[in-house]
Amino acid sequence: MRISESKIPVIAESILKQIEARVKNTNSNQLSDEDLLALHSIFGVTLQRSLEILEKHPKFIIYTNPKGRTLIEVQGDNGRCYRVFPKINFCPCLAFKNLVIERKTESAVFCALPEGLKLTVEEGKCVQASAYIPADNFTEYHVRDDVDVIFKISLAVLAECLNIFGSGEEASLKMYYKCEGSPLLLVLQPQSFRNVMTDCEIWSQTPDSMLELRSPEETDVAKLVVRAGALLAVLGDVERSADVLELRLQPEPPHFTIVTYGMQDRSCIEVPECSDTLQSFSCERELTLKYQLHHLRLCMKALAISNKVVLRCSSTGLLLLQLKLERDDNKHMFSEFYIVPLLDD
Amino acid sequence: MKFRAVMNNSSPIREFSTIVSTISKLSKECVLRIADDMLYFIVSDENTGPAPPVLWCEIPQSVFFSEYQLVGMDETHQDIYLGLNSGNLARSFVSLKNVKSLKMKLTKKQCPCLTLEIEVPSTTSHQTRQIVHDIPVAVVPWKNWPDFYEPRVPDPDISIELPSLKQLRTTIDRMRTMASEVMVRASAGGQLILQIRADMAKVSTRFKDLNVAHFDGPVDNSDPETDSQGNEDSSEIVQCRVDAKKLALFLNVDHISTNTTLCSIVHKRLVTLCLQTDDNVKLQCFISGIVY
Repeated sequence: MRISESKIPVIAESILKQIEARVKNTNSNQLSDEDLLALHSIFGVTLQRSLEILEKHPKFIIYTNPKGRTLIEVQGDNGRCYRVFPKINFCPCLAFKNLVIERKTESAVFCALPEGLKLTVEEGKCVQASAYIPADNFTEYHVRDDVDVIFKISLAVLAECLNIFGSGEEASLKMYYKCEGSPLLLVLQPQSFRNVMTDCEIWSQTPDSMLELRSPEETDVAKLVVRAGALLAVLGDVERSADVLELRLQPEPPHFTIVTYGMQDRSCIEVPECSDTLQSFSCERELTLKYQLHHLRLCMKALAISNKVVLRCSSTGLLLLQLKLERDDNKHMFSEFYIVPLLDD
Repeated sequence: MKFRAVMNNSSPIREFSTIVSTISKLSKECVLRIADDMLYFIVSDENTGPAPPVLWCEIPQSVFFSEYQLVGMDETHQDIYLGLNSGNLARSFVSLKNVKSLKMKLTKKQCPCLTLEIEVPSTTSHQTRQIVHDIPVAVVPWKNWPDFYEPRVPDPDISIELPSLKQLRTTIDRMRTMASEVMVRASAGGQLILQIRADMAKVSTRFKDLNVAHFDGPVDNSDPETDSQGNEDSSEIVQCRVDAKKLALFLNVDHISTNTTLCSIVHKRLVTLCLQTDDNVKLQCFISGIVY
């Protein structure tokens, strides 16, 4: 999937450079109102908040270790010290949790490829989930192959429209999309009542650039095939209050261990290679990877309707869950979850 | 002032209780008007106070009651109007499963009460148990009666039979999450169209082949707000924009086993839903239109 690169980072970079040059020339060490306005038009609320932090806590510590990794320490309002890595969009603070992680994904990127439909959502820049509906699931499916059919759409509105006759009602669906900027048209007709029809026009937007979580040269270091029901049961069994889940994979027994850390407890689930939960297991070397349990829980709904899951861990620790939903008529649907690992303290 | 009524059969008791519980879902407070031949449940809009009622339910007493005695306030005011909490009344009916009889009367205890005496057969012996509910009521003085008179509505431009209420309600419920207002359109050709315009979408659901009970056209649709529907003559479409929440609320009446439900629209002013059961119970909801 190719998405036109957003121009905003380039503009931001050039404005920052211009301001830097101007400040150096004038020797005043002051940002003019115009500079602030220019920055505000790009960064918006984020600028206000960061200036606030700078004013309140002018002390920043930047560590650079011999390998060239940088770490920034910021004193928070509550006296706690937050460590942030540049270029990694994560902060353990409450504001990040509330504003970024727990904000419900509002829009999805809708992409029609000749092979099928793909809907992608991102959460807090840490999880990327996609649903694939291969073209053979549709009675009819036509996509122009000379243009990219890709747009952003409100997921909540799409879901409401698809359920317009209630979730228990089987309905036939026709979807149309003309060209960039035109709405997605849905025509729904329930199967049990013939005298009703719903037309929906859902506005589409130009998509933002999506996270490229996995670079093409990255390889899998471990690959597991698990029954979806079994993984769902494990995630359901895990203590609610726990917030970190650790996957331990090793070539020798016990091959696959799931450890969770909560406020007061630590629990450990071992899955031997011979169990029927694990349908296949391959692992090159011993691995210990930590994830936010909350992120893994996001895939529970998809697990509940799937049959099989493939877990892949890349060399950077990125977890990829590939879920397969097998239907009776030999037509399948898939979903994918990329989950970013937690770094060790 | 005296009122005493008895219901002896379990099926009218059950139907009466369904009506009461439906009304309690629509509004916390209601007025029970007791007249010689009818019982009325009247609900006014909670926000605007005693304005024209938004819900009007009439129950012919002869179908439900085997005994019915009423002595009104005085010679000229022969009805009784009681303000009561509809939830209290609905809860008193919850204990009813296989009831032998239900006696309803107006009593003077610490305050005026509507007393329900329910006789329940015992499962172990031939004796019966008696349950008494006292529901505090406020007697409405006759000076305030005009607030609860049947609303005078203009003659509808169209009356169309509604499709299954359950189906309609699921659709409205979905639409309600996207927009706060619904455009209700009915055409002389038997189509009912529900349409919303939200920030992110435009959705319209159309029901076809419905019975048109009455059409008083043509309608003046010359203003630009009307979308042309292409193949249909716009002078045959009556429309009204209403609050989606109110419409959804009134569609909750689907528990009452209905004979027919009619939707009458006064162009751009009012939507009236009128539900009639086999026992001639009539329930009318008035939803006023939103005009910009």
